[in-house]
Formats: sequence, C-alpha cells, structure tokens
Amino acid sequence: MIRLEDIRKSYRVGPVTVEVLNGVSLDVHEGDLLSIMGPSGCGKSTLMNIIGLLDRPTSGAYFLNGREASGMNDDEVSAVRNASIGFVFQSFHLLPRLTAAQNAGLPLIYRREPEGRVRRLALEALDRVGMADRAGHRPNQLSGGQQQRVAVARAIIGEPSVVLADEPTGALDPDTGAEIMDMFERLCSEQRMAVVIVTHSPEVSERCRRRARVEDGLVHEEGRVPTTPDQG
Amino acid sequence: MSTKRGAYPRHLIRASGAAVTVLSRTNVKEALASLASIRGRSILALVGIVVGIGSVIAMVSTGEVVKGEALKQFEGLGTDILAIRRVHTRVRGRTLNFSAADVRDLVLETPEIVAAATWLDVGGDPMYAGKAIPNQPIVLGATESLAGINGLELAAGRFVSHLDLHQRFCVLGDGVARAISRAGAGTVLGENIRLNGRLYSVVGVLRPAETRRFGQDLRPDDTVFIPLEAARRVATDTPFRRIVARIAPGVLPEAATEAVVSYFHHRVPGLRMEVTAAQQLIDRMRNQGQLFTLLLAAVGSISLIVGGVGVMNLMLISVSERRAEIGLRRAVGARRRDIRQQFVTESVVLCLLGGALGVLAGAAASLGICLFAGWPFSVSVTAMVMGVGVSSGIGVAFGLYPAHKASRLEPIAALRS
Repeated sequence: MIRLEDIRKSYRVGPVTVEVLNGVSLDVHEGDLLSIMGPSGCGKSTLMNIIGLLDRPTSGAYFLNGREASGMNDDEVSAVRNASIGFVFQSFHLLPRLTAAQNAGLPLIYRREPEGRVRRLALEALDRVGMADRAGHRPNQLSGGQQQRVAVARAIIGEPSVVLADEPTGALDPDTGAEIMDMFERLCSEQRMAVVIVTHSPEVSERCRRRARVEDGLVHEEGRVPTTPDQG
Repeated sequence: MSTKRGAYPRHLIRASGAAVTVLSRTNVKEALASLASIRGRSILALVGIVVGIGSVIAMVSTGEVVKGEALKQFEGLGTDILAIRRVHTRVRGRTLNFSAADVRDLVLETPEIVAAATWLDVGGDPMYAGKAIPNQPIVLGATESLAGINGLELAAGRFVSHLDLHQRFCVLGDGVARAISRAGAGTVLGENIRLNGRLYSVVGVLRPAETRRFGQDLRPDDTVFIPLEAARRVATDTPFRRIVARIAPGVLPEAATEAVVSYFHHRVPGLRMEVTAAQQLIDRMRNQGQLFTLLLAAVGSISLIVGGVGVMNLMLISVSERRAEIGLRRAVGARRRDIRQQFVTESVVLCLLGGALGVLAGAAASLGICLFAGWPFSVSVTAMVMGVGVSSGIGVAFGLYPAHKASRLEPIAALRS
C-alpha cells in the first residue's frame, strides 16, 4: 500500500547540504501498526512528512496505493492527503473555534460533502473514539486525552488508508496514552487501516507489531514481533 | 522562472473571480465566527471602511443636494432664456448702443426669438406720503414683455404697457406694496408714489416673486416698475445695458445665440453683443457640480484606501496568528485555493459589514447636514449601491495579498509553529 524506494532528502543550509534521509526503503501494508523511533533530528519527522505528502523527497520513489507521488501537483497532493491519509499530532492541532464534531468533520468539508452528511459522519467518528457525548464541546472544554480522541476521530473520518501519528501520546499521561494506543490497535485490526507512529516512547513502540529505527538517515526494521491487540 | 513569475497574477485573477462565487454558506459562516472571535480588532479595522464609505456617501449626497438647490433658481426661470449684454464700444468718439425699437424689432425679425425685453434703471428714492419707502426700492422702466419673460404675476391691476407711453403710472412689487400699505394706504391701487418730484399712480401690484439673477439681477418684490417711455424721459442719459429674450420652442440655444448676434451685427454695425444661454449656464453648472461631487468622492476614496490598508493589516496579523490552523487545514486536504478563498471571504465579509455600517453612517450624516442647512433630505442611492460594491471590492483587493500569503505557506512549516 505504501512503498518507499531509496528515498533521499537533503536540505541546503547556507553553503552546506545536510543529508537527512540517505536512501530509505520501506513497505507499509494495510493493517500494519508500525512504530518509528530514533534520536532527535535523525530524520524520522522528515520521513513522516514525506509519507504524509507534506514534504517531497529529493530523490527516490514513493508509491501510495500504487500511485507515484512525485508527479502530482499541489492540488492532487491535497486531494490524496484528504482521501488516503489521516494525521494525529502530539499537540492535537484542533481548531479552538470549532466544536469537537466540527473539528472531526473538517476533512469532509474539503470533499465538498453536504453539511448534514458531514455532521452525521462526524458524530459517527466521535462515537468510534468514545467522544459522542462531547460533540458540542470546544477543545478548551476537553482534557488532553479527550482532545487527542477528537483528533483521532478527525484522522479516521475520511476512511484513510494510513494514519500517521507524530508522538500521539507525548502530551498525555501514561494511562491516557495507553487508551490512545488501544484505539490505534483497533483501527489496525478492525478497520484494516495502517497506522504509523513516530515516538520516543519504548512503551508505545513495544505495542507495535512492526518497529523501525531511523539512524544515520537509514531505516532499520526489527524482526516482526507478533502481538495481538489485547496484549501488552 | 518565467512561469513562476507569471503564476502570481494568474492566482490573483482566479481568486478575485472566485471570491465572488465562493461566498459559500460554510465559508461565510466560518468567516463570521472567526471575525467574531477577534471582535475588538475587527471593529477597529472596520472604522476605516465605515468612515470611508460613510464620508463618500455623505459627501456625494450632500453635493447632489447643493447642486440641485443651485440649479433650481435657474431652472425656475426656464431653460429657454438668453441673456444679452452690450459690450461697451466707442466708434469715433460715440458710444454705440441699441434702442428700445431695436429690441422690439429683434422679436419681429428673428424667428428664433419669441420675446425680448430691455429695461432702464432709473434710480432715485421713491416716496410715499412724504416719506421714503423703506428698503430703497429700485425703479425700473419696463414693458409687459419683461413681466412675461420672468413670469411675474399680478395680485391686482395691470402691468405697465408700451401703450402707456410716458404716462406716469407705476406697478409695485409685493414688498413695496406691503411697505406703503403699512404706511397707511388702504387699497394700494390708485395711490400715488412720488419719484424725482413727480407723482406716479399705482395701476398694478405684483404677487411675491423669486429673485431672478440670470442676466438681470431682478428683485421684483423690491421694485417699482414704470413705463419704459416714461423712464426714458426721466433718465435721459442712462443707456440700455441688457436684454433678456425667450427662445422659440424647439430652437437650440446655439442657433438662437447666433441669430441674435447676427441681428445686431446688421442692425447696429460695430456694436458687439455678448449672448449667454441659460441652458449653457445650467449645463456648465451641472458639470461643475459633477466635478465637485467627483472631487468629494475622491477625497472619500482616500479614506477608503486607508480603511483597506487597515483590513489588510488585520488579515496579515490573522494569517500569521493562524499558521497552525492553515497548516492543519492543508494537512487534512485543503488546497491552496481553499485557503485563499477562506481568507478572501473573511476579508470580504469584514468589508461588507463595514460597507453596510458606512452606508448607514453616511445616510445619517447627510440627513444631519440637510436638517442643519434646511435643505430637502435626499441620499444618493447610486452612492449607497456603489458603497456596498466598493467595499466588497476593497475586501477582495486588500484581502488577496494576505490570502495569497496564507495559501503559499508550507504545511509543515505552518504546523511546526
């Protein structure tokens, strides 16, 4: 479903060219729960941004659902992000003026879905993350864990192929973090979505069936560890 | 390189077209919510627009009223009047002039003219019952055509006539009649007015009439009219100076002017006559009025530009404060175009609000001015419609740059902030 082939990314900082990714190849399949770890500045966020079509590689090929991404223009990239990718961020990134339901429904606005349908699907998505009773609340009326649930609802409302989570539990206490991880596991096993998590936390990584580390601009994947959703 | 440079205006053009069509309900609702969340700042940014639109509307409306008031005087007289003035000319030590007969024949010999009148300023202080009549009335030698051209109406009696020749009759303006009736006259008709030692009996009294300025400086209310022949006898050295004439229906003022000039050219060789048509004067005044209105509108527009800059400033601040929001919207699938439309919509909604308030403020201001000055109140509907149109135009024009800036933000950079 996702295939990276020899992805390289370099930045030009003044006269110096900094190589961040040095030929990364990676496959992500549906139902995968993949963690990416690595020291700060190792390039794992860059890798995430490339997978999420927020950034473009300097070279290499990226296939998403069989389509090569480098030839897409900005509108096409936006449409693919909207259709195939869900994002979850460490700092939630909910819009403070909107209610939980409006936040969850945001991706559908950009599909030109009618208002009523957006609202119905948003309530469904909130129900799936256990937030149906908070639909009318604004982010500042919700706890961190609740906000992250709303963010997950927003990520999954468009039925994407892959959810990309950047330190999703980083701002949460361990118990709440574990609940978010439970949700990701369910998404993989029940909805057959792929979930890719960038994290510093060994606890989070341990719960993933696939684990990768980014070091020196390369991805090293550990042997597959079979786990079931209710383990760990 | 060249494609990149060319891309900018294309975006602008597309966005400006789209901004009008994409005032979608969702967009407008979001814009209102977002503006409401920074209420204080929105209101401050609006002040410029409100003042701008308001002052344009007040100025244009007031300008129209003033123009209308000024024109009324002329138009009341009729647009078919020619003012003819003798240009002082001396030939071989003799001053050339026209005579009463020349004026009479002007009508007979020039088909373009249906009526003409000249008059003689006699001077002197008319007296009644041994005392000077208050307000120093003017004494004019006149014929019935002067009354006809000026639409003077009689309250009683008759006007002086050329048939009166040099008989000592007089007709009193409304003000003069009131003055002598206050001084003790029962019925004014038949009373005697003393002028330069001679008595003139009153044969007519006029109704109140408006002052006529065009070509005459005639204040009928404060005038004593005597027969032109009688006046000629008293004021033997006073020359005729001016003529008023009425143009035949359907004749253009230019043609009538030419006919008059050519008539006098043949009648009194060497005499130069200056002819002004009321219509030309009215047109000139109207043009000047339009220029004046335009000038006022231009002054108002400057404050509109200031207002637009205020809105642009608000939008720029808004864009930089909402980088995270923009990044997030891009991440969940908003195209650059969607972001641009969101911000242009916000700016247009803001300016439309300002425009609506400005229209109200402008109408209120012109009402105030009209009440204060005692003019009939009217507000220019064109200016109001244009005010709303212009304010949405300002919304687009001054919102495009911030919106464009927002749409060019890189999502990752925006999300990091």
